Amino acid sequence: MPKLNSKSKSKSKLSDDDYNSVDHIPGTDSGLDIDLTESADRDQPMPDLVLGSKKSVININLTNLDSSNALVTRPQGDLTVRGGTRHLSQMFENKLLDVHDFQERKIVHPKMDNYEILNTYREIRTELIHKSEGKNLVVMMVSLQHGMGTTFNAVNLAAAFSYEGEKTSLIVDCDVNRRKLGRYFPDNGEYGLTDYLVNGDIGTEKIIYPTGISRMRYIPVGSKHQEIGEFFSTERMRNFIEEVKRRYSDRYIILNAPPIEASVDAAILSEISDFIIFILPYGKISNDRLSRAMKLIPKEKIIGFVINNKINHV
Amino acid sequence: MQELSLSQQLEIAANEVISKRVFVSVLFSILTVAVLLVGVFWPTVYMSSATIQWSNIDSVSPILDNRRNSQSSTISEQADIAREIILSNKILDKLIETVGMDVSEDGLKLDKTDLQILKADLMTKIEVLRAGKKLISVSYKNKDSKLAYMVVNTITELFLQETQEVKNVSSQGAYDFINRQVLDYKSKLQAINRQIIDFRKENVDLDADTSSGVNTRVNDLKNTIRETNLDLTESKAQKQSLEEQLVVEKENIEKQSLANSFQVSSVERTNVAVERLNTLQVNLDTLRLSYTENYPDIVQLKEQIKNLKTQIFEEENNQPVIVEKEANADPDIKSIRFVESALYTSLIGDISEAETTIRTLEARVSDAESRLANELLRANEVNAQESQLEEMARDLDVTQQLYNDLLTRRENAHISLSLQLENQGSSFKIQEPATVPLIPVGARFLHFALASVPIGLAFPLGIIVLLLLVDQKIRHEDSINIEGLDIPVIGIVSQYHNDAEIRAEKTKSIVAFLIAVFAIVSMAIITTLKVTQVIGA
Repeated sequence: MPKLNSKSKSKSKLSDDDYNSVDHIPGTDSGLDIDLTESADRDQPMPDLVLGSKKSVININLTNLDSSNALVTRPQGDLTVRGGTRHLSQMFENKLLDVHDFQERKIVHPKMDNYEILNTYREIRTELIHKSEGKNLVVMMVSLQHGMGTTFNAVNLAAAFSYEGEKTSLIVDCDVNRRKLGRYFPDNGEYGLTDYLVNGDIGTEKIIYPTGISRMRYIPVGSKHQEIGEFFSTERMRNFIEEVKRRYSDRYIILNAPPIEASVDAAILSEISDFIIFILPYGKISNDRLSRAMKLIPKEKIIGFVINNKINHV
Repeated sequence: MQELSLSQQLEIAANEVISKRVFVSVLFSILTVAVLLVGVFWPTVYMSSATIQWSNIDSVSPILDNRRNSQSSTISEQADIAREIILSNKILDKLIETVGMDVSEDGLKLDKTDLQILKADLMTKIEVLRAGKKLISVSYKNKDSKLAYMVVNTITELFLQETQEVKNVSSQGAYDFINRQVLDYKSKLQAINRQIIDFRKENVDLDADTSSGVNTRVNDLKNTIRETNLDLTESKAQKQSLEEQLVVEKENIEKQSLANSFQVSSVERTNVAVERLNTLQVNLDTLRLSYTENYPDIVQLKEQIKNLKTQIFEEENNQPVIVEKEANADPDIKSIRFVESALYTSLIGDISEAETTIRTLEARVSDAESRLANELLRANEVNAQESQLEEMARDLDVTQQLYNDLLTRRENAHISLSLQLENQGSSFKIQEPATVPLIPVGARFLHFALASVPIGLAFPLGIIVLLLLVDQKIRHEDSINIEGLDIPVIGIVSQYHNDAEIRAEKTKSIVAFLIAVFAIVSMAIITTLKVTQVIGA
């Protein structure tokens, strides 16, 4: 999928520029938070939302905001005092993505013309929710090699989760060599996952960033460190996942794993995942190659294939 | 692997083609324009052809043999023969000379090497093929339609002349041969006839003296000998019995002794002899009635008569002498008494008669035997002559038959020859003469024009389909096949284009379209130029 690759590359640059030129939203304090979120939701209402339940939506949003702030793992009273303030200010420094941004970054959104793609992710989401029996879960998105659309699918699935009113999603970029998630959501902070794993002083709240999509957060890869594969297999990684899962029962965690053929990280990450979705690029992989790759990851966790980038002119 | 249905495969192929539309368009343009340009400069070739009809009524074979069915040759054999004749150096030389191909464009005569090249070229380009049950087609292709016509026309005429000539020669030859044969046989026949006449002249008696006649005579003679021998034996036995009686009588006379002795007068003896002479004379006369003088019986009788006469004569003249002599010579023997006995005298006469008969019969046997020997010799001779005559007759018969046959054939040959001379019996005829071709043969611009679009489409599409067939990558959820695993496809995500990509796709479509339009416009221009003969061969 070199075509898509190159395209998305150029796009990410564009979006970087966009971000740089965007004026910060003025007067962002905690009081306005709720309104903003609400308005964002109003701008981008979920298709399945009932107008009459607006109040509840607001409530939910409030809770969501709460919980996302609570990631900081500090008493709620301290919310506005310490890192919370920074975090929140960071969060609202990003304006929410508009239709154009969604389109440019190839993220599904409820107003998109190609409704079919959105539906596909909704179906996958429904399937996952069904499989997990309503509990929160850790899904690993993986493919055979780079350029097969793992990140694209991970972002879109996370977005699809976030569009369901009650749920939030967290996408974790585990592909230390590519950092492709950064192209979708330009880094806001200095820390990422690797920093967190290496440095015990860094809390989870320091590595979770907003995405410009409401109820969707992301964790970037972080600084470069040697032998990061070792870190994925550490207790800290496991604890981190467990913690995120335990604390926020409605949060879906999506791991953007490196390709199976490129690194052992995928295999390690598969152990801490609940489900694995295998991205199968259209017209790029033979059955033989697929069969070989399948031996590297636990089959029982594979929930299914997602055929990506299908040519669909007719 | 689970096979995809045709519609699924078609869908995949169609998607592939659309996504590679610029490639398809470019290849289509290049190919169509290229094919069209080839068509523009493709040389036009005109083909003239003539049809020769062949009839297998051969005028030569019936001359040579009208009884045996001549092996009828097939049209393909005839076509081969025609090809050999047409492509022979003789005919080609004539052709080149007649059509004027030996003069180059500069008006110079071609040298030997060029002529050889020209001939080799003609040999490959003149096609002689069977074109049906009785037809042979001769065709030639050339850029110049008039030249093509002239070559075919000339060569068919030359071919007919050649075959006619050959036929005439062979017919005349056949006729001459037959004629010679007829004359030859005629003289042979005459010779045999003469021989037979001569032979008959030499052996006139042959007709009378057939072998069967000789055989009858031989048998007759053998019978005569056998019968005569029987008579002879009988006579000898009679004579022996008479002699025995005579001995007995002699003893009786001796017993009567001297008392009964009596003188036998010589007169009595003479009388006996005369009596016998008369008998013989009667016999002789009887024989003379049926036989010639030299018949042995007659000869014998004459001899006996002569003897008797001598005896009688001696009796009459020398009677006393004899008596005296007898009395003087042997006085003891009372011979006179014997003579005087009537029985004794009769016996003596009978014995003498028997002796005569024996001698006659013996003479007859020897005569018959000599004649038998003659007849046997004659029989051999007759047989030899007869077989000789038979042989001659057979010769005559055979020769006569052959001669008659040859006469018939000579008549046929004469008819054939006459037909031949009037061109009626020719086995080759021009069925359809060569014409000046107006429409070129082979691939023409129209064909190229018609083929260009299908070729232009088929190639790129074919390449894409072929690549899809070779490249067995997963393009459909039904093609996923991992051994021992049944992992469902939970989602199929179509290509998600952002605005820039949509623009790029649109650009691709426009480019592909423009290229195709360019190709079609080019084709139109090329076709117009070709039709108006601005360009092209």
